Amino acid sequence: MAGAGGIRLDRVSKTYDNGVDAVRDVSLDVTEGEFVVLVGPSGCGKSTLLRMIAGLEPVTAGTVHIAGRDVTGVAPPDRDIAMVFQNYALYPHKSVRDNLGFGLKQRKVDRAEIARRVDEIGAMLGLGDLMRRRPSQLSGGQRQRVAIGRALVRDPAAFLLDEPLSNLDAKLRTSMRSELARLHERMRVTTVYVTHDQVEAMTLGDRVVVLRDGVVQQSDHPQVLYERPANLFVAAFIGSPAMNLVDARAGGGRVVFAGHEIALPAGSPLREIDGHIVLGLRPSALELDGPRANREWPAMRVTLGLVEHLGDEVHASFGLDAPRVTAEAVLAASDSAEDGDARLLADDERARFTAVLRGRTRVAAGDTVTLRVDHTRLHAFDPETGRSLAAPADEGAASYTPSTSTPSAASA
Amino acid sequence: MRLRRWLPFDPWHLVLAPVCALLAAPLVWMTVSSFMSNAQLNRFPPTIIPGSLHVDGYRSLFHDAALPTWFLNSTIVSLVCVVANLVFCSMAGYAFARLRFRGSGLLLAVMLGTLLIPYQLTLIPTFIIMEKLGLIDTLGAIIVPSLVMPFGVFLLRQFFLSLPREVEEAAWIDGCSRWAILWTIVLPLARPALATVAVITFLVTWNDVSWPAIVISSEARDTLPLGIASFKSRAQTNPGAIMAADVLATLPVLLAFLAAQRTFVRSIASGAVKG
Repeated sequence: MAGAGGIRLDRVSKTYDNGVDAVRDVSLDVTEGEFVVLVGPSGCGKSTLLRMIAGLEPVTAGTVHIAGRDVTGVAPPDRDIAMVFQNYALYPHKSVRDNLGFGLKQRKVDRAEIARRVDEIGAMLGLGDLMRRRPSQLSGGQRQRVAIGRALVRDPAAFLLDEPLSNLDAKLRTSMRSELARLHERMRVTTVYVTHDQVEAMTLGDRVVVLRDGVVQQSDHPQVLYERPANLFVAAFIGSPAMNLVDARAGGGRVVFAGHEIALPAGSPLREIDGHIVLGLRPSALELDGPRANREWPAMRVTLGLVEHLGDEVHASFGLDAPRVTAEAVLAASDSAEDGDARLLADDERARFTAVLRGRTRVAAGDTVTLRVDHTRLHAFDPETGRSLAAPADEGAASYTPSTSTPSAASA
Repeated sequence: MRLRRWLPFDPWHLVLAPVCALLAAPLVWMTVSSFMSNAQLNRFPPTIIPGSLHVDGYRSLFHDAALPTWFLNSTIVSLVCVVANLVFCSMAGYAFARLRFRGSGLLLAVMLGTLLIPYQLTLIPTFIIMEKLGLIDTLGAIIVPSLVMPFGVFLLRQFFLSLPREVEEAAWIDGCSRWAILWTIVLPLARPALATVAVITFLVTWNDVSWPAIVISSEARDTLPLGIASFKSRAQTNPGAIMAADVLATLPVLLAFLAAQRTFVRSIASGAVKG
């Protein structure tokens, strides 16, 4: 049950006039003060869901509660929410001051009180010198601050943010991201945040809800999503670089794929599987063989294709003698994932693995190297349904008690 | 592009300047001839550059004709129509652009369809309606049929569609009603389109001669074009006065256009890009 300032969605659905199901049977509890991120590829229904909370989009079925009040049929102005739009949606013909104060003025707040609150928010967001300017005279970051200020000044029960950083350049986006986190730390207002960027989702959210085709795939603490993805879609979507996936065969205490064989350690949950699986392996679970490498981990000998030196770490990718995993869920996730692994060359139909190697490793494209595989961190997915069959035994994940965890409905 | 290097101006001006001269010629001729005497005007071949300037036309206009009355009538008709079109066209245009209601598409199609019907076909039905309203031979008969023009509704609808929807949604969330959104957010942003509608409405109503000629019979209700037309039918044609009256009738139109020119051109340009 949502607290006093929380948001509760109870089996909400949205079907558009043209018959498209944008959101299907979504239930979600956002507790008071919680920061929940809705994430998924474009067209997954995350923005529609947010607009349904705002009241901009009527729900086809289900109910919406905000601060304990059923607002399903209530118009947006009476929901006590504030929203920040992707394109800021500032009033172009009004000054920054008037933009900030507009909502209060509409609510017939006393003029002196409006001035006081606008000045307070302006000072907090560093807008003091810009108060007289029009939005067209502001930079992207300044506009963003005004848009956020306009939401803050009303002191609403909940904030709704629709991809607020996607129009900013990469550097500004990173700094605004941490500013937003600090802001939430200070204000502790219930927040629902929509993004397609999984890095934003992972860094900002107390909880992340992964959506695909209007269906909640998984809703949990970001670390749990990363370590124990409920299905192939979440596995492929969360994490950068994306999880390595390959068709494999499990049985007899081993996993065999593309001419490689990995012996499973005692206690590995994969030992209980016998048959075809999609094997998942995080790029960070691969390590270059060397004196400091863990000798107990099985080895793979590979020829590196692409090597990217990023300073502290090296991303090395290599082809495997196996076809790419073409499960629909994986394709849907990689279409949108912004980790640069969208294919450039159409002729490479082989599966590719990426290894994130720590330290200043001297490797180059074309080198044949031995990699050690952390066989305690293998994931197995059902090749038909995409559902997770086995995930690494809990390390830190169990400490984040999932408040709502909706298993995948269908993600074949 | 190569031509550009040889000419001190854009080569397009070679095409535009003659066209411009062609369009300006009647205006210039009208102005020049309004300062000619009837003798100069009746000469053949016509006088192009008069040897002397006369203000007889203007004098007879102010002495013999009810020019101030015509001017007042035309001003009343045009101003009422402009204000009414701005209000009604923006309301209807906004409804067509943003409100979802049953039959909105059909209504829009019907409204636009009326643009295809020749004006002459609707003369008699409109006349009958005006008669039933008891408006014949009043300024109301000229005003009422032009209170809302479908073109204005369409133009504003297109402009409203081009405005970002999120700005209105932000205002909605900020606590605005539909009315408040229209008046405080949408219309201030639609100033160029509103200027266009105002200028077009003004032009159409100010210049209209055939409809007023049908519904107005008493001289006291004549509008400016009607009054000018009456010069020709009088026993003695006075071309100098006609030209002088034409100049005076054109002045407000030119002024209206010049005043709204910047926004006017901008709205045409933005319409071209956004469709």
